[in-house]
Amino acid sequence: MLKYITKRILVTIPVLIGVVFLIFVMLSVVPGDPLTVMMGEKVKVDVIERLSEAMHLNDPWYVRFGWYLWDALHGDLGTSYKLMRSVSSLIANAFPKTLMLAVTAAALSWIIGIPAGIISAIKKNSLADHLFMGFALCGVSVPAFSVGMVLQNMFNGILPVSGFSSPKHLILPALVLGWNAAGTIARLTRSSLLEVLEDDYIRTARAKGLAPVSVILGHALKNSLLPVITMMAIQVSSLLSGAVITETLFSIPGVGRLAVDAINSRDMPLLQGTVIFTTAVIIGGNLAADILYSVVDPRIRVEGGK
Amino acid sequence: MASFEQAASLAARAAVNSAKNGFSQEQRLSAVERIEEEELLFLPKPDTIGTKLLNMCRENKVAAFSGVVLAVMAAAILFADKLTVYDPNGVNLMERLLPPSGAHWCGTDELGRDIFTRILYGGRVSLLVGVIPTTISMAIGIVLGMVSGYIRQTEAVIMRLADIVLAFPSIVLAMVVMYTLGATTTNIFVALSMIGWAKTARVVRSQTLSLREQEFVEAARGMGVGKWTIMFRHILPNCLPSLIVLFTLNIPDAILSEANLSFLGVGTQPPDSSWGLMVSQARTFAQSSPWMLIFPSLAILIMVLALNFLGDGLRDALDPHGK
Repeated sequence: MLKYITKRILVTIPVLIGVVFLIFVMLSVVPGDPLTVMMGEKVKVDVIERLSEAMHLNDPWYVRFGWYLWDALHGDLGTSYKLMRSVSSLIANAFPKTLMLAVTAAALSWIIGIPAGIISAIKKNSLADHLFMGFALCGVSVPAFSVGMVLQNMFNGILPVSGFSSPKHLILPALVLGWNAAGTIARLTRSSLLEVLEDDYIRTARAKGLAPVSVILGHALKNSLLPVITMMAIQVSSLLSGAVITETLFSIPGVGRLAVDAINSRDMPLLQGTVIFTTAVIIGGNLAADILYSVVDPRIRVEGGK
Repeated sequence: MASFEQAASLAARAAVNSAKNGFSQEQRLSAVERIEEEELLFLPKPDTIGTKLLNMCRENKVAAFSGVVLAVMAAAILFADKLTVYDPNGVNLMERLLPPSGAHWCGTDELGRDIFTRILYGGRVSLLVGVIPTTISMAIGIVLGMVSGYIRQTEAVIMRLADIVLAFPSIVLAMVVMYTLGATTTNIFVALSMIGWAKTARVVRSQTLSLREQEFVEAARGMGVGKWTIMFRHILPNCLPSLIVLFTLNIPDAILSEANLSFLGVGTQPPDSSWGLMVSQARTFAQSSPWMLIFPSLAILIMVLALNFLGDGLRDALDPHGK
C-alpha cells in the first residue's frame, strides 16, 4: 500500500516540473519587456539595470528557469508586475473563495447527480431516465457562460448576480458549475450501475428473494460507486481550477479570475503563478483520486504494485 | 479432433496469407471465416462498419435524428448567403436591438445587424473550429499513440509529454497559448491542436499495446513486414471504430473551448464572429434584449447536443467496450 502511494507520488514530480517548464518557456517567448510593463516607458537607465540584475533578467532563460523553480519550491512565485504584491499572497487570498465555490458546486452535483443516475439505471428507458439523461447531457453541452447569463437575467433582483460578499452570492455560480458536474456524475453513475446489475452476484441476490430495493442499495450500489468516487475527486480538482469562466462572469475574486486579470493586464508572473498553482491542484487531486481508489478497491493496488 | 486441427491450420494459413497481402484483422477474420464456412462451419460474416452504422440508424432513432440535424445545420451554414438577404456585418443603426419579427427572425443586435444572419455566418467559424483542430490533433495523437505503443523506447518521452499536457486544465492552457501566440482564428486552431492530441494518443496507445500482441500482427512481423507498415496497415484500421467515436465527441469539446476562449477575449476577434463571441457580446444587452443571448446559445446547444447524441450512438454501435 505504502509502496504504491510512494510510487504514485514520485511519478507526479517530473510531471510537475514539466508543467512549470512548459509554462515558463511559453511565457518567456511572449514579446514585450517586463520592466516596461511594470513601470511604463519613462524609467532611468540605471534603475532598469539594477532591477534587471535583481530579477535575473539578464541571465539566459535556463538560468532564470532554475531560479524560478528554486523559488517556487520555497513557495515564492515571484512578484506581480501590476499589483506589486507577491503572487503567492495574491493566490492565498483568492484561493479560499475558489475553494468555497468549488465545494458548494461539487456538493450540489453529488446531491443531484448520484440519485438521478441511480433512478435512471433502475428505471432504464423510462420517461424519468430520458428526462434525467437529457438534462444531464444539456448540462455538458451548453457553455457555462450562456447558462450563467440566463440565470443572471432570470434572478436579477431576487439573488445577487455578481460579487462575493455573502453565502447568497454563491447560489447562482454554484448552480452553473454544479449543473455541468451533475451531468457527468449522473451519466457515470447510471452506466456504472447498469454494468454492475448484469453481474452474477446480483442475480444470486435476486434469486435468493431479496427485495429489489435491498439488492440495489445493499449490493449493487456499493460496487457501482467505485468509478464515481474517482470521478468525484477528479471533479473537485477540476472545479477548483476550471472555474475561470464562472468566476469571470460572476465577478468572484478567485484564482481563475486572477489568471484572466493577469492576461488582460499582461502581468506575466501572476499568470505564470496562477496557472502553475491551478495545475498543481489538479495533479494533487488526481493523485488523491488514485490513492482513494486504491483504498476502496484493493484490486487496483495489487495490479499497480507489480 | 481432426477437424479442429484442420481449422487451426487453415486459420494459420489465412493469417499468413493476409499478413502477406497486408490485410487488416477484420479482413483476416472474414477470410478465416469464409474458409470455415465453405469447409467446416456455418458462421455469419462479421458486420462491417457500414452495416453497423445502418443498424444504429435503424435502432437508435435519437442518434439518427441527431445526424440529420447536424446535416441540416451544416448545409445552412455552408449556404448561408443563399438563405439570408442581410450582410452579417451590415450595420443599420435605425434597426438596432429589434425583437424577433418576420423581417428579422432572431431580432437584431446593438448595431442593427440581423442575428439570424450572424448565426449562419458565425457558424462557419464554430464549425471550422470544431473540425479542423480536432482533425489535426487526432492525426498527431494517432501517430504519437501508435509509435509510443509499438516502439517501446519512445514510450517514456511521448507519454510523459501527454501526461504534462493532460495535467493542465484545458481552458487555462488554451488561454496561455492564445496569449503567447496572439488571438487570431488560425491560432485557435493551433492552440486546440496542441492540447487535444494527448487524449487521442492515450487511447491509441492502449489499443496498440493490446493489438501488437495479437497473432495477425505477430504473423506480419514474422513475414518481415516493416514497423511502419504494420502500424499503418494492420494496427490503425483496427483502431478505427474507437477513433470515429472519439472524433465525434472531440468536436463538441473544441466548439465549447472556442466559445470559452472568445468569452475570455482571447478567442475569435471582431468583426469576425462565432457563436461563442455572439453570446459574450450579448452580455451587456442580455437584460433588455434577451434574443441576443438566447439564439446563439441555442445554436451552440443544439449542435453540441446533436454531436454528443451521435457520438454516444456511435459508441454503442461500433465500440461497445470503449469509455
